[in-house]
Amino acid sequence: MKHTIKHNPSYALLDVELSPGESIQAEAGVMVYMSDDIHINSILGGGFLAAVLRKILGGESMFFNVFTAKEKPVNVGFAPDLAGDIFKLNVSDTPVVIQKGSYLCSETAVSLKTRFGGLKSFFSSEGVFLLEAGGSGSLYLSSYGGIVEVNVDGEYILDTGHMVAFEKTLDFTVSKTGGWKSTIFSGEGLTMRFKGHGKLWIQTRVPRGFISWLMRFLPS
Amino acid sequence: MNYKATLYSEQFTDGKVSVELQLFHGDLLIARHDSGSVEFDLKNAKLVAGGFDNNMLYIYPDHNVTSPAILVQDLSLLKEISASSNEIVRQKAMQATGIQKKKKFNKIAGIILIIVFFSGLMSIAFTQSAGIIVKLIPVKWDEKIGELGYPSAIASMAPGSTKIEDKYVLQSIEEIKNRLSVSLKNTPFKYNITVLKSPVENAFALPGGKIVIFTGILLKVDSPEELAGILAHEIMHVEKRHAMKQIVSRMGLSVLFQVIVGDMADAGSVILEVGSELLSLGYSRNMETEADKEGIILLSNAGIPADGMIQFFKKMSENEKELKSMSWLLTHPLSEKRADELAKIYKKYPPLNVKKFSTNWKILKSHLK
Repeated sequence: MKHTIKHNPSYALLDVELSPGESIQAEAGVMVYMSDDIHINSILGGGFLAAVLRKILGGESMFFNVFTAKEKPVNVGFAPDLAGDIFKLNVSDTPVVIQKGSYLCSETAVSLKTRFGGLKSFFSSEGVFLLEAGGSGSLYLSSYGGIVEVNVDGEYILDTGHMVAFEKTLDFTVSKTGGWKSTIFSGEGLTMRFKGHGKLWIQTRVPRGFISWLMRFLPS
Repeated sequence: MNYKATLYSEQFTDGKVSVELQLFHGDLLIARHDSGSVEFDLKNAKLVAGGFDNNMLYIYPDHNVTSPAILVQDLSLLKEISASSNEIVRQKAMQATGIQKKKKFNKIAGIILIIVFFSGLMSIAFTQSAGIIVKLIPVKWDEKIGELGYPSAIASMAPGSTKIEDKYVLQSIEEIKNRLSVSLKNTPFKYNITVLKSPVENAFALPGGKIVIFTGILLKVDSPEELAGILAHEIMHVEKRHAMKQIVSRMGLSVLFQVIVGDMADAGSVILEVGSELLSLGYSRNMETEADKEGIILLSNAGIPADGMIQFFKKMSENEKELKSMSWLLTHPLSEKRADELAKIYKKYPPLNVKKFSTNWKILKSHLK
């Protein structure tokens, strides 16, 4: 399977070339184009109950689409809704936990499960559900804005909403920025404090920032 | 015993390397990798439970939590360390286990909180929208749920009770019912009353119009007007489809689930199945108030003085002992405020063209004994 990421970092598009028999699974609705000779199969994302919960509580699609090349090599293009970058990640020994909106597509050897993020995930505005990618293979994630890879060594503080994905060797708690005063007045609000060692991927922009900028121009 | 682990250190190109761990004398940890080894003295080390699932152990050579660090996913190492002969090391292991357990507990508590939060939101949403949803449900379903709920309601309140066939009793009650139902304009429901012989002092209406009166409450009532008051209240629960609203608001999630899955026919069968069980849940305060008010208006239209009903309430609440034994009042709690409100509504809606009932209540009572 070959891939090219075009027009990044702002309006990235992922082009995947599948050899006959090869498959790739993607979040429903992210396909931009595809060759004629492709078979599409819709599967429930992360098990039945998880899929239903994703739909009800997360507002996401219940299904993933699996694109399979039939007899000749084919191309499929994927792009997320928002402007931003796409990057490839190799999942191997350490599973990766992904913020719900950042998953784009992955090889079928990558196993995906929806998992409960707990209260901390809820308060970090990353949603109640997170996606966990295990197994081994390529995983393509999207970001709003650019993407930065961070090697967390001990502790790392991140503003809520910037998290894209992290290795499962890391854990995070949600805490206030400083004292109560700075939490309320500094405009920084709550932050995510990562602990442990491993990789963390962050996005340089947060959708909510754009939305609140936009709100100022909307007639009330 | 050997443990597979990861050693994080700046000296490696990737920032980490796979190692094999071994514990010596209960306090010395040696990590071997392809190009050498590292020793950690556990007496000075820091042990921290970590990882997103809290199933990993970080070991640092001192109090500093930056690299070098060892990450072990196999927690049986923690057990081996807990068995160390060194007191300090043992305590460190115990502390790490404690933190791990506490974090797991927090996680579960968090999950429960979120579930409670969302089901709270859902139930508020469904209580608010239940009225709208119920309008979409065909009236036939009320009757069906009433039919399904009848045997279990009787079985739970008065098992083995028999029907009263006495003509005088049935005709008297039929007269009251007819006076009331004639005054109901455009009702889609057909009311039919069953009188059951049982000491239970209760009367209730099932959705769709089936009303059950136990002889227990008939013996407590002193006039046809008092019984008319109780019946008017129960009829208004049916007319306002309170039971259906309760069912929809409580079952909202599972119905929603059916709709999402896409089978509306299934949603119907779920309502019917679970609905009959939910009948026993009772009504909300607002529903009781609505039934009170609408009940008095109905009495007024039917030319029946509602002070009989208020009188019955007052009579019952004065005797506290009786109040406790009276199950109709238990489900319809009478506070002074409610009695005042009833009286206020009654003032606003006095009976039009008062007509007396032909029943002699004393004779009726004698027929019950």
